[in-house]
Amino acid sequence: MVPASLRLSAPDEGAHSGDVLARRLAGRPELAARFAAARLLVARHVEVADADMWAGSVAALYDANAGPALLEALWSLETRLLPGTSVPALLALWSATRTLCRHAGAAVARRAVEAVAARVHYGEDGAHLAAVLRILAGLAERAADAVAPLLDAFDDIVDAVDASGLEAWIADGLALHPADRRRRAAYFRLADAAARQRLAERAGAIRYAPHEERLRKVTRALFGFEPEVRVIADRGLRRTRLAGGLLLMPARFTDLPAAEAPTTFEAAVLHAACHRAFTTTRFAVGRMKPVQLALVALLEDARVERLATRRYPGLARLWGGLHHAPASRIQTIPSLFARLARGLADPAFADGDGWIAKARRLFDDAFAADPAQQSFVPEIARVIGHDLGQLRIPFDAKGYVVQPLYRDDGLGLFDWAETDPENADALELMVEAARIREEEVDAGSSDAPAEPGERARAQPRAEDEEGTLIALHPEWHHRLRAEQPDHVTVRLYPAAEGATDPLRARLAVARGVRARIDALVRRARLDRPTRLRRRMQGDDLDLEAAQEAMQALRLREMPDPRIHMAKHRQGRDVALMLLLDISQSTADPVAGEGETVLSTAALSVALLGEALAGLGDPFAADAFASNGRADVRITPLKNFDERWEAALPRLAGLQPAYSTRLGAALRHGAARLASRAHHRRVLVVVTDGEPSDIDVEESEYLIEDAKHAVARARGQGLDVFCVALGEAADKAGAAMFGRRNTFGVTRVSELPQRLAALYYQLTVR
Amino acid sequence: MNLDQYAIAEEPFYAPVAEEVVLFEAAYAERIPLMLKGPTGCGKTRFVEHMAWRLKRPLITVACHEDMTASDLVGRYLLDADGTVWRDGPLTEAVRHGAICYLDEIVEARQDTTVVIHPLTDERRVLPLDKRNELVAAHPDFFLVISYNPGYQSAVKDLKESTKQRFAAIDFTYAHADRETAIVAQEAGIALDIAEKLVRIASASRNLGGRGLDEGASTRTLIRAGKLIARGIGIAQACDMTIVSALTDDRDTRGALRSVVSACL
Ligand SMILES: Nc1ncnc2c1ncn2[C@@H]1O[C@H](COP(=O)(O)OP(=O)(O)O)[C@@H](O)[C@H]1O
Ligand SMILES: [Mg+2]
Repeated sequence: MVPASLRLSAPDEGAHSGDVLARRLAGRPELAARFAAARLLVARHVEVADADMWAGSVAALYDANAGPALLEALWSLETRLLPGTSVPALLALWSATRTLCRHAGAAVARRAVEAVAARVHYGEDGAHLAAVLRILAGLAERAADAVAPLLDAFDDIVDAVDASGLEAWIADGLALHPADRRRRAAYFRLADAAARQRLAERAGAIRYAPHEERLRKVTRALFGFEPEVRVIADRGLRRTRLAGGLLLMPARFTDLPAAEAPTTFEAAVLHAACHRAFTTTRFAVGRMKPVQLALVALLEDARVERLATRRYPGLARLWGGLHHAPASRIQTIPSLFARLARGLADPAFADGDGWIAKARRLFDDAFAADPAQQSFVPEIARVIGHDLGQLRIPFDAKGYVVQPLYRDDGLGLFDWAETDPENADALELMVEAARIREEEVDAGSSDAPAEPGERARAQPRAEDEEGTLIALHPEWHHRLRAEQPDHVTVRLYPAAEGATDPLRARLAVARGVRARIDALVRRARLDRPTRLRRRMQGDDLDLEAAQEAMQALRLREMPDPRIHMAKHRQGRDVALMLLLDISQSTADPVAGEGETVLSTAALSVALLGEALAGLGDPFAADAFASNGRADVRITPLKNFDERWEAALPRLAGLQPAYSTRLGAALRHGAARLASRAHHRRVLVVVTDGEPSDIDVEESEYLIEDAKHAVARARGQGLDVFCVALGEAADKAGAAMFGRRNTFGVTRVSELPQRLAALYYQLTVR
Repeated sequence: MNLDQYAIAEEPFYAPVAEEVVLFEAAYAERIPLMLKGPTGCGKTRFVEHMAWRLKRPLITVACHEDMTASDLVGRYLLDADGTVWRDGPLTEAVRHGAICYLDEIVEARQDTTVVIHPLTDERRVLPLDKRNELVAAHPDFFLVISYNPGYQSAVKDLKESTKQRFAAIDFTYAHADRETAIVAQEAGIALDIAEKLVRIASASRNLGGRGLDEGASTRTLIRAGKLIARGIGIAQACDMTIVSALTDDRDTRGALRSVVSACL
């Protein structure tokens, strides 16, 4: 179809579209008057031909049942744009609005125009806004129902991303929820963790992820523990925030130049580590006003940093370099606080302000007396906060942003439970402190359903039972056709050791199987040592060479001195990493044996371990299960450097529970194996079926992710195989690992002999 | 045969960390073979040198490595103008003439090599030279010491249980910070406050053992850094050469170590 604007500009209709529309509007005097006024304004800024194209666009929108309110919204937007805009941008606004109006209705189109208009600066060229509106129009064409929810969260979204980011984020949403309108609405309203996560991803300019591994190590080296950082796209989060053991990191810092990112992130993470090391109790809010709370946080920041610099003086340089507030006489809270922060961090900082001088003196004295005495902080805050009141300097709690940029916003330093109910100002902060925390910290589920009541039901687990975080892995989204970085959290759960007697007894019973495995081992070992002859050095004399040498000597010739011989074992150089699925389904009984899938698998691993010890192949095994993407559970059974017997009590203690997030387990195993230098590195997964997890509805998602993980691992040079247990499991396995790399063991009771046999089949040339 | 070349004339500087001197002397008195366990560069070798000096025994040290064969320890036939002659290996020399024999980093040697020491470590105290058809009875002063780094062990490189059982063990760790500072200052010839910073860097790096690094920076590493500093190289640069770049090639781990160095200075 030819766009209205082009058609109307055709020469045969000449410069008349404006007049035509004016005549048509004759019956609606009010509208006609507004049109006339708008036409006059446009005429003042553009050429006659362009003005007529414009009139054509107005007519086209009018014909799309726009209604006066929508037209009015555009006209008023125009008033503000006209001094600076271009004709194409102007026409683009009209045509995008028409598309919106046709697909999503006049009311939604009007909201869109108004939302965009609210972000216009007078005289701006409007090209960016036209682009945004065009993207919204594109969304309206594909999913009209999604526009209104998006407009609900419009400012948050547009704050986070530019136009191309917006377009990409919308495409993500449509890909994630092609059919389910309810969940799609939740996505576009940002009421969905995945939506925020995608937004953070698309905002992406300066990302934390590239610094994560390095900062994890710095923190471990300097403080002996590792930081747990979670990146969050949320406009309310302008600084990092401490939330329990977590550090929430804004997806986007406004004003962080890329060149400063490595130091700023380092400063932020190490500052948070100082709190974890030295802020031993959280401060009671009680009746403290927001200004005092802000001061407590500021002083506590200085205290913990100073404590750290006593051991690590270089950190003072790191943090000090990020204080930029110059000395001045300004007496506003933002300025005073930024200068006080700088003065406390840098003794050489000279600022003439009396209040700052007093605060510094009080702090220095108290710190010198007993730096570990955290209670001096609220005391000083009370005194100097009172002084601010006397000076009548107002504090804008909502607009206050902690300086410098690397410091946490302080909300995590307080115990809000003890807030005085009369203390209304502080209560507001408390709500903010709780807001993100609840969502991100306890849910942590990817495809968070729209309704909170429907939250994926994670199996209850005791807080203290939470495993230690060992890695974040990406996950592949088949609809996005992209990896979602840091999507799953892998945690370590040391094995509960069980009594080994039953397992040993079963090992003893399996004598027949062991004999067969033994034979295999002997064959595998049979790659004979080769003899390397005529060497300068070696274990034995090379008799032939020695004889020749003797002859040479007799003949008074120079003998060839290379008369030794060495044995060289052309050693097998194979390492095996085995991943054992211990999800709930492995509790299923195995026909006729009184055993379960898991207990049979455990026996198999024990047999394999014993055999491998005989062979000398390095071997490690981990068990895995998962309880949502925030809790992929790894239980080490045997490390490469342990003897295989060490695995026995752990195998005996395994309990089936939770689900199977196969891709995550594969990435974990691949990471462990990939760092080892061996000729062949074999990754074997023993599982009883398709992957599944509580926070994933589409089985395809995890299957595709597993495929992707397999491809990645192969890309790293690993050989990846699946041992699929039970009927039809091999089909599921083949879909992910490929048919040739999947070994179905239909009768689970046969696993013990099959597993070792498989291994040799795979690795013995 | 003269073992003079193996005698230690001057006292090697050694700052005791715990009871190790007394324990060594007792084991020596009973000729119970000793295993010194601990991470690399923590002073095991220096300690043995010191003890040899103290006990006035010659010391024959063998640094074990992967390609070492039993012949490298016990000896082999060599060819000369008249045919072949037997040449004792370092272990045999120590056994015959009564020296302390120190097999450094014994796990590095292959297991079939290390079994030759077994008959020396029980009541028999003999060394069979199969190729010569000779059984060498150990000199009364012969004493066997091995070192072993448990941090390194892997399934392929581990001491056989049967080998371990033949030794009494003394555990070594890096000296306590103050002691280590004094050692580094003394050995490298640098001021105590600089040595203190180096030790702090090392102890932070040791937190990364098993997580990016096999082991953290050793005392030996620190002494090397100190020696460069004593020659006028900047501290950060010296640490970069001897610690950061030497310990790892991984980008993130290097970045982390650089931050650690800078935090400590
Ligand atoms: N307790 C100590 N007393 C004196 N010097 C020590 C001590 N510990 C370590 N050193 C120094 O560290 C260096 C490395 O120690 P070394 O004995 O070679 O380590 P190892 O044999 O354990 O690998 C030595 O050369 C010495 O300078
Ligand atoms: Mg803080």
